[in-house]
Amino acid sequence: MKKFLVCLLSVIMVFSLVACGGEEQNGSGSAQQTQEGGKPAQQGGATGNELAGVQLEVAVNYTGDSLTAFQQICSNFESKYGATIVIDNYGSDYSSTMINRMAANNLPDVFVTAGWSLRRYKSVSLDLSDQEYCKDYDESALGVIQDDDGKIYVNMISNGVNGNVVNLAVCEAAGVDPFAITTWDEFLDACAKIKAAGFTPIASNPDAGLTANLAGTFLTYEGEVADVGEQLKNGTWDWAEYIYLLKFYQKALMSEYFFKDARSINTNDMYERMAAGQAAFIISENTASIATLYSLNPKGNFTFAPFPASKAGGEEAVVSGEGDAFSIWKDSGNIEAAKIFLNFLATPEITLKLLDATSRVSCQKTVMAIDETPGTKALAAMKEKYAGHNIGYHNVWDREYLPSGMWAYMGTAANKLFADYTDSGLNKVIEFLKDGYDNVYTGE
Amino acid sequence: MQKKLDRKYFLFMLPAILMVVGLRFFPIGNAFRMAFFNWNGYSPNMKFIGFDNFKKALSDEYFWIALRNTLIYAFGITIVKNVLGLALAFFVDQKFHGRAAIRATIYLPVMISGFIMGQIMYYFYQYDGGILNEILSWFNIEPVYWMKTGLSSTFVVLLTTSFLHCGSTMLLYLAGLQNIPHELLESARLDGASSWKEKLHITIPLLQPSMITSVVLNLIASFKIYDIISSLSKGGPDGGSTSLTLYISQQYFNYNKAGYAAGIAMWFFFVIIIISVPINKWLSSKKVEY
Repeated sequence: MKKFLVCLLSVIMVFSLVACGGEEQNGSGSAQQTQEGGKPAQQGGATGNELAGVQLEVAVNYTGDSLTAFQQICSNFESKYGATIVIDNYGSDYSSTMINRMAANNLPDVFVTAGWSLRRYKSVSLDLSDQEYCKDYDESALGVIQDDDGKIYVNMISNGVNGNVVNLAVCEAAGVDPFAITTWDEFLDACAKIKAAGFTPIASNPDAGLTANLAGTFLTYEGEVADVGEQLKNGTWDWAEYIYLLKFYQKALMSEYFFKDARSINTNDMYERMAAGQAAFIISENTASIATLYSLNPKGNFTFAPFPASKAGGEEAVVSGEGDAFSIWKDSGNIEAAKIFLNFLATPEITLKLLDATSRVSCQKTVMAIDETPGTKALAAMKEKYAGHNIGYHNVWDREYLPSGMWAYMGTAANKLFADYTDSGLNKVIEFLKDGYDNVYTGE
Repeated sequence: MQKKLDRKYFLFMLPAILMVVGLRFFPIGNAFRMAFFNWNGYSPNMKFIGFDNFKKALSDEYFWIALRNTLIYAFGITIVKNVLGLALAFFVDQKFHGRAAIRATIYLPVMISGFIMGQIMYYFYQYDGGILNEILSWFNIEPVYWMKTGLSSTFVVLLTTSFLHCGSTMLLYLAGLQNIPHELLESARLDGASSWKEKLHITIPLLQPSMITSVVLNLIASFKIYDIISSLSKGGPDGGSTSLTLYISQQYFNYNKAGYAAGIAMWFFFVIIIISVPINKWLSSKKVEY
């Protein structure tokens, strides 16, 4: 009897496992691990039938609310077109997994480019320049995703726009007009006035944004103090000119324009102090942080500003990175279905749903016109207030000019700079970055 | 018959053996293998470089800072937690109203994630508006920048971890205290021993088994400290409060230097062996008889 019971329970267990393992999964319900991409499945969808029998594999790096919102959007697509979407959600392993899949020539039909639509994925992506949504991009987006020959390989729903964030109330109290600042020297003069009025001029803490995002205003953009873009791109640069950027920070740190505990201040604390009116600027911030500041102080008055130029007549800059951006694998077996999916994502109501979940900034003019999020409004306000300025819109500097893998070095460099900003400290920062740059290039 | 029995017992142990081999020996062996390669953690190309990763660590300034800090954390936290835990155990072993609530309150932080506790404790040590500096301001004392240097941040992390996690040590000692036979304490009192002498000559020597357990457990946990550093000081300023575990993680995941991270991990393994073997030997030679 006992043996019979054991056999019976074993059989039940085996069948349960088989049943669990064999359960059909569709994209709207859950994310699943890698499978062969680009192969149509023989199963239908829900109510629509235009794409019945097509299975699209979509790789994303969403988590939490963003993933839930994306799953819901995919579910809506399935209902409308009858296709099935399988979501590969690789989370924090996204980049390494996609690099491996690219090496194996086995990419999903649609994938998030996570900042690398041109430099990493261009060779495997379909040219989407003829799609309607490509005619609707804001200029801040085109600087990021448009190739030198004018081609676009991505449907970018949102972008991360980076510049300076300004507390207008503090500037007003100190008698500073932030809209008149065009160079970093004028920025430091404004800092002096703000400090004299009893405020801390700059709330930033040391992170990679400080050492990377505004580097172009010293090194690579039009009319700046140095022009080393070519050397950077071909890997021959020796970092000597980086001293211009470090000297700017040295002046600011020596003049005590940062909080005294800037080297250990955390990001939440930085926002709280800025929102509370203790500081006037955060250098190198995303427009999305404006929403954070208003949530901390709804009565505050914050705006977004471009990075000033390093010398008079130079180009001021706003840098943008890809936000929610989707490419189609050029060898996908479902190119037409994938195009329909990207057009579906580009519809304003779907885009707004995703923006709501990701807190990013819209980059298509049609959506920007109806997007009420503070980040987008701040960008629009910046364009209005800085209308007479010479502003360039560029891709995030490290993605444009540095090899992949330098971001961590830039973060450590910022920490080293804040720990020691003497002349010898600046030289150590340069040595450190040069070593990192050489290591990343040689893969050592 | 004996052989048959042995084989049967071996079969019973097999699942556990497989788990130990699969979850312990295999990762350690794989890390050891990785340490001989230049590898970014995901590329199919691994370049054999012999002992270069091991040599590189010895000339890496941040490796030595992380090693120094790890030793400070390991021994410092172990000492402070044991002293505090013992004192608290004596305190909550008394009979008074609300004793259970106090025991629970002391133990509570142990159950909360170190990442969360680090974030909360950050607001104690802030230079501008931090709780400690607010208290100092009541006495007209200038605010202190507690996390100004790497070493000061290391001590902030050390004390924070010790205070927050002393509840677990307290419980170990409390269990030890409650195991001491009452007759021994009564005899001492009848012989006229003061409370202090009773603790020094009777209670503390008899707590030796608890002490050994506590020291070993705290030493192991403190060598692996990661979460509180990561959220309280982020290993800064300029890597000055990093531990080896945090440094290994940064090298692997931030800099994509999986081979180098494995090389440091092997050095770390070697250091732990050098330290733990003699300590274990010394502690296991200690025996207590009631």
